[in-house]
Amino acid sequence: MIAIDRLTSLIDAYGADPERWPADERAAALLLLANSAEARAYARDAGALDAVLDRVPLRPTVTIDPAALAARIARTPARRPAGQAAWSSRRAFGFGWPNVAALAAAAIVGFVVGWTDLNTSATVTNRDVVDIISPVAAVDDSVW
Amino acid sequence: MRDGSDDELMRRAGRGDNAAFGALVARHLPRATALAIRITGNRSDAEEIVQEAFLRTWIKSPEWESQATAKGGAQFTTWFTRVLVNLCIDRRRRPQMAPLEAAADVAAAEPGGLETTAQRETSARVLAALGTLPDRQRAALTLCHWDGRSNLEAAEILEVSVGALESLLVRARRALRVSLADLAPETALSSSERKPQEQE
Repeated sequence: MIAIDRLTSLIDAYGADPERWPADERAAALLLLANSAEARAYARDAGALDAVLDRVPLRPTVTIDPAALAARIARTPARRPAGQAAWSSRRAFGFGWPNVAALAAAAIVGFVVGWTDLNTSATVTNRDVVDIISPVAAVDDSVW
Repeated sequence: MRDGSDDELMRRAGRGDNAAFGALVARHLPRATALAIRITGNRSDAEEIVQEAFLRTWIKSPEWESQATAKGGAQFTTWFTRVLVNLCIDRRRRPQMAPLEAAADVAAAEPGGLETTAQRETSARVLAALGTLPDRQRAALTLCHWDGRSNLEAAEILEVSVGALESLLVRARRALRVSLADLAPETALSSSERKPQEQE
């Protein structure tokens, strides 16, 4: 037997349909419900809200073709470690790390140019700058 | 090809079995779509999210076996539903249509499920009211009321305790009881005001 407070808490949380109550408390809750007119009135009250919620169709129409979706996804060229989506949201909206890499490359070039005196120094050539930024650029390209 | 547990299909998909992945998609697509529509209140968003969730499933599949073993056999449906719900919540945090407008759009798009204008309007009202709830309350109610999840499953999907889940559900139902009071007059009086006394 459970306390009536627990029964009303179950009804407040899960509604009046015993099928939605936690399995391990259902039998005791039903026993209490059978013996308490007030608890039954309480359940009827919650049942009215259940009835309204149940007017929404249980299974909205599905317009996606599962076979076509699976085939399209399976053509995704490379699977990556978990947590890294290959396309969609990051491509569409993300300020992802490729952007950061590009920013870092620009900062490195700026630092090199600013730190060395281009008019007087022959130690840093255009080739050197390309060598410095190319690893970053290569990583950037590999992402997409 | 629809034979096999979800975990088995996931392992086969991870080894490059496209048919197994197709079976997994076919098995979970209807339920996932229904869940996403209820949480987002918007069909086009829901369909995008479902596709994203299946893409993540495909990407995840090669490492599923080792991870499932390490976690003592993580259930595919719990993992997949968690991904889906989190994507829905993330999407909901972006600017969106007004809840009522979105709900009417969803309700109107269900010709098979609704027979009359009155039913369609009721459905739109319910979805609109659902759309005004905080994200986690809406997700909790959707999982437990419409998606048929047990309290343990829903708590695991939302990564909360059962007590916290019940708190989310109580607050969700209390809010809906007020906003939908004209559709269910019996519920207008808050249940907390008429709690029965302890009986033996």
